Amino acid sequence: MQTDVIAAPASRPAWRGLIGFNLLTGIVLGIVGFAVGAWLGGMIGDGLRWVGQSDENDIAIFLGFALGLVGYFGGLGFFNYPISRLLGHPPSLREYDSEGWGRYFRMCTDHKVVGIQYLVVILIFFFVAGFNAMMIRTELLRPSPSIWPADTYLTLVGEHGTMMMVLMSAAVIGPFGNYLIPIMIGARRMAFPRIESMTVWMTLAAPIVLLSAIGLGGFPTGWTGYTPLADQANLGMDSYITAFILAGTALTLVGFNILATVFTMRAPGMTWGRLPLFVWAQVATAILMLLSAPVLVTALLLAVLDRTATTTFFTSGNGGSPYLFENLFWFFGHPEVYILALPGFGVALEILPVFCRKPLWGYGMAVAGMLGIAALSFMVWQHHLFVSGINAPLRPFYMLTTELISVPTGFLFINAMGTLWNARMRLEVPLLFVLAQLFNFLIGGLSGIFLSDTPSDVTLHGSYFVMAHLHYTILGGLGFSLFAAFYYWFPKMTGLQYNMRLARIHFWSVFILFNTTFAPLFAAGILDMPRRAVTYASYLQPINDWVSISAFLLGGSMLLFGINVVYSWAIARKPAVDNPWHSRGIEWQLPTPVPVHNFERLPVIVAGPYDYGVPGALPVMQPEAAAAPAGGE
Amino acid sequence: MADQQLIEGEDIQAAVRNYWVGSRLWIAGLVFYFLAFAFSFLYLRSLNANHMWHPAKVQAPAVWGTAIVAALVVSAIVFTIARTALERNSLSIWRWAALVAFLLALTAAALQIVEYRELGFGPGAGGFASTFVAWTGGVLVVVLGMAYWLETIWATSIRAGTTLADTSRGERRMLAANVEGFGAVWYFVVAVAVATYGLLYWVG
Repeated sequence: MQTDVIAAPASRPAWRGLIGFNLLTGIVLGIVGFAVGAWLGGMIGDGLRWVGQSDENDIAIFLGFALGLVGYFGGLGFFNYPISRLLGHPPSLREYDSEGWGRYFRMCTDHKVVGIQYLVVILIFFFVAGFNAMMIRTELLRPSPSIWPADTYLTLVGEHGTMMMVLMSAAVIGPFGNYLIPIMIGARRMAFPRIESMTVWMTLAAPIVLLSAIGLGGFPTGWTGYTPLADQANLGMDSYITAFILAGTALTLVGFNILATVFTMRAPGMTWGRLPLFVWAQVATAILMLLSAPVLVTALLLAVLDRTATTTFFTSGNGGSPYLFENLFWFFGHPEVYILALPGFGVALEILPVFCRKPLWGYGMAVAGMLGIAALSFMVWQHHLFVSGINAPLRPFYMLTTELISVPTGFLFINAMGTLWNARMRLEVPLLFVLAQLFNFLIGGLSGIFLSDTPSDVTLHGSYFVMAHLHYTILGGLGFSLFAAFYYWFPKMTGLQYNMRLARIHFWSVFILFNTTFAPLFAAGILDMPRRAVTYASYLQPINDWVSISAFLLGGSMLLFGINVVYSWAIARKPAVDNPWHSRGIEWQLPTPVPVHNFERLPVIVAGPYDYGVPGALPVMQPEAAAAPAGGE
Repeated sequence: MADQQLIEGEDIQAAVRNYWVGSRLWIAGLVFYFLAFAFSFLYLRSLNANHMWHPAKVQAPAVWGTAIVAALVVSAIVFTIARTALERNSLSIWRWAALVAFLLALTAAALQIVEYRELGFGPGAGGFASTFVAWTGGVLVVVLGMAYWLETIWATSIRAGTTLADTSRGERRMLAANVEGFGAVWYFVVAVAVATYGLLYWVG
């Protein structure tokens, strides 16, 4: 069965489009599923002694979420294919409504649609999580609780942290990885398009489930979900656990799919040495996702059992240990840091040569740096437990491995500096964001050395110094690269041009305000301001007031970005010129909008992507010249 | 189903490679999924907090465990027979042997569920009891998933009928790739089940 492209009948009334497998059906069945699951869980809980002894029934909540998700995915149409395969039907790829808005609201196996879906989901919840941050900073204008009770404040912190972690893990690889990787390697689609589609709907569901914690009493643990606090927390903790299980599963599947795609779907001539660095970065990230996220999922499943089935994994009184959760969590959690960082470096190294108009400096070194970071990131997790009572002899090992990771990271900076050296830069908005990203990440990385060093970490652990560090790496590094990627590829993905003046104002305001917001937090940390505490010493109020006001302005500059997105995409709709950056990238050689199957016939790749300014450089590909199969050889 | 060299709009060689690569990547993900259970087992066992790792009254029922693992091992052996039959184009043997392998996997899952009812201790009876319930449950979920995969392969081959006899046809090449990919993961899962059995029932 070949690809079917099913177009909506022209005479069909508009309301008929609401009926069928789509988001609306998914939401309705999701709610019904939740209700049924909660009811069933209530029945089961009534028969269990330990539930009767408690005033909460976690079984009802977890079963509600489980059946709710079954309804949600069923309503979206994700069970149709598995059932047809169960009945022995052969593979059949349906790309529903290849034109029109409907395709964005249902399961769609076109990787470009999935990329746009990811982009919208990420942006929406980025603003929701950012709004949480504004509420946190509002509370911190005063040194004692004045707006939110302490438990609400903790929930806000947890919502902000968890949502940002979940979303930022997919911030680049979701929208841009899914949209661009098949095109960049000369393929027509991802290796497993249904799995690809499923991950975006998981990424949508996860923050919604997380937000439900607010209605279930909140959760007190922040994004790390540490036990035994998590074991003791009320029902809102179930939302956190379910949301993170969803996110972890999505990360695993994204990693699996991207690796399979790059391994098997490369066009003839797309050798490993010609692979764009953006793709290499996603490959390194995908390795981390595939291998670390399953450990997180298992840890959270054990937490589910602790909360529902009286297992004692994380309670030391009965043969368990809270340190077990810390170990399992950070075995995922530290690679997660590089899941966040590596895609950003991929964006930076992809964009730099375009605006420097010279070849990338040190391609091989960049690949070695990315893979080196990926490999080392599995050997550092215990530095998060320096103050948790780990065996003292282990500390130097983890200190050394953590500091060692700055070597491959340094490779990537050398690549960037070498490319910038003597370049005649075109200071367009994407390049500005890349330069700012490098600056911010440098501060984040250097401050990380203090946290990898046991003696200084013992002092700084749990303080705002850590907060400042992680925001410099995640928002300053990945966040800025997300903006760089957006401004660079928006004309390709939408065929539209954004407002350049607003974009420049956005850059300068966000760069200045980001630094005025987060740099003072290093000082706050050194002055002993603890993380996740709603009260602080009164001598810290001036610095907190400064940070809060700066944060509000930073939020305003983000609104400028949102306004630019909505204005350019939905209102002005000014067509973009083809290849406005004069890039050699394959994606820019295709027409806009990119055809459903990208290439009529697979292209032959004949040159690398970064030969800018090289006399006699061949074009990257010979389009539609090959009848040879994919595979890169 | 018409013969084709294109599967889902892509050249069949890419689809065949997807099975091979995808199954190996899936094994890599499963390694770390099971590693978390193994780490929990070893970590809690070494800590033995409050001497509550493995109270004397908690005894894993070895008879049930042996039966479960035996069903899985026999399923893997029968699957090997099915796979060999397919390679030799003995479609009838393939279909029967694949069906038996599938039923044995389901039997193992059913035995596991029965074992939970006959366990003699609760999941809260110490670190070992918790790990036992969770780890065997983790294996159970994967076994059920694999049984689903095998059923889809078997059902596809039944529906394709005699067209599968032509080894040059796209459907046949896809089936062979699917079987090869499934086999790689299934042997791995059964090996994990055997190792799990050794740790949970004998090392404790």
